[in-house]
Amino acid sequence: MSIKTTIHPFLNDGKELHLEVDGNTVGECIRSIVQQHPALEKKMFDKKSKIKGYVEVLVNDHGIGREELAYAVKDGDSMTIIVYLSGG
Amino acid sequence: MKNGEVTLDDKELARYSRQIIYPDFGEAGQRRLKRAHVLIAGLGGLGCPNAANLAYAGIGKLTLIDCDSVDFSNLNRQTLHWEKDVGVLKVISGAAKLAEMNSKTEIVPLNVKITADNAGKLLAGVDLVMDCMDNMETRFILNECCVKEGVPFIHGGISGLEGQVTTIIPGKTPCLECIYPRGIGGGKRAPFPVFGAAPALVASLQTMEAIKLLAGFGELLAGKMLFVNGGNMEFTIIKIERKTDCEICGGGNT
Repeated sequence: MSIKTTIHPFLNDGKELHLEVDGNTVGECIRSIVQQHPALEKKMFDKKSKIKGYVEVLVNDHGIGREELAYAVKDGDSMTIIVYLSGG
Repeated sequence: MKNGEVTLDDKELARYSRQIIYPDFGEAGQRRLKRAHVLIAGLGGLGCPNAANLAYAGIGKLTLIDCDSVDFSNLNRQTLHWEKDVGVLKVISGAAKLAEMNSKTEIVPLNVKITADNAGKLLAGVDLVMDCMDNMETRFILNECCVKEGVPFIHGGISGLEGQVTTIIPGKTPCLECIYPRGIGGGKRAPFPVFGAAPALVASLQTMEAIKLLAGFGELLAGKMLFVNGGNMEFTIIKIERKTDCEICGGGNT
């Protein structure tokens, strides 16, 4: 499975990151991302290994809801990891 | 918008002459702004410049909603609130400045907290909601109510030198829940870092969306989220789609 992934600059020291990863679920893909870019783990996950509240994963341009890491992906899907800037 | 034709007097034609000459706007666009009723949800870092921009642009009626009073820590960015206003309700402080900016704009200050119970009533007669909140919970309440009532909602958010903007048109674009369906919750967060230029920039982008949407020209950030990063001056747009099983808007399936 090859999933085209874009990671928001907020999570990567101000630079948007593009990469292709393998995995059958969002969780597997993210594990592959973190293996390649270990610094992202702290930015994306809390101490209980849950995705942080202000991080959202979009698959094919929409949110994936409460399934999060278990959400299934297939070859050709796109994954975009964004943040929620909630101040006002 | 209000029914019936509104007219522009000589002073208004002079006042707005530099925007009336914009090719896709004209006097018709100016009249549409004058007919419009816009709700500013939150009168802080985003709400102050949005309200000022819209009053200067000639919006007919602005409802201001905020439940806080001015604090010294607001003064680096909340441009309608000045040193003399510390301790004053934000909607009162803001309304006073806006009234001096444009005496033709009707200003309605409401010192209330937006809740699921009162949101529907607050949206009555409103053409557009500017999301200038500082917490997620209220944004999701407003998103749900705007979808239900069919009122467009221009979302803005900031942190540090970064910000994000999207325009939500019920029935046509993804709603906030389509993008962030996990129900990112919680009330007001701990103080977040912010320079005043960040909300000023994001608010100006929101206002541009509002003017285009109300006057009916240009291309909107509909189905798109714009991220701005003042740290490296990068602007990024990502595509966003409706979620087919969205619990709030139905993703086009209702």
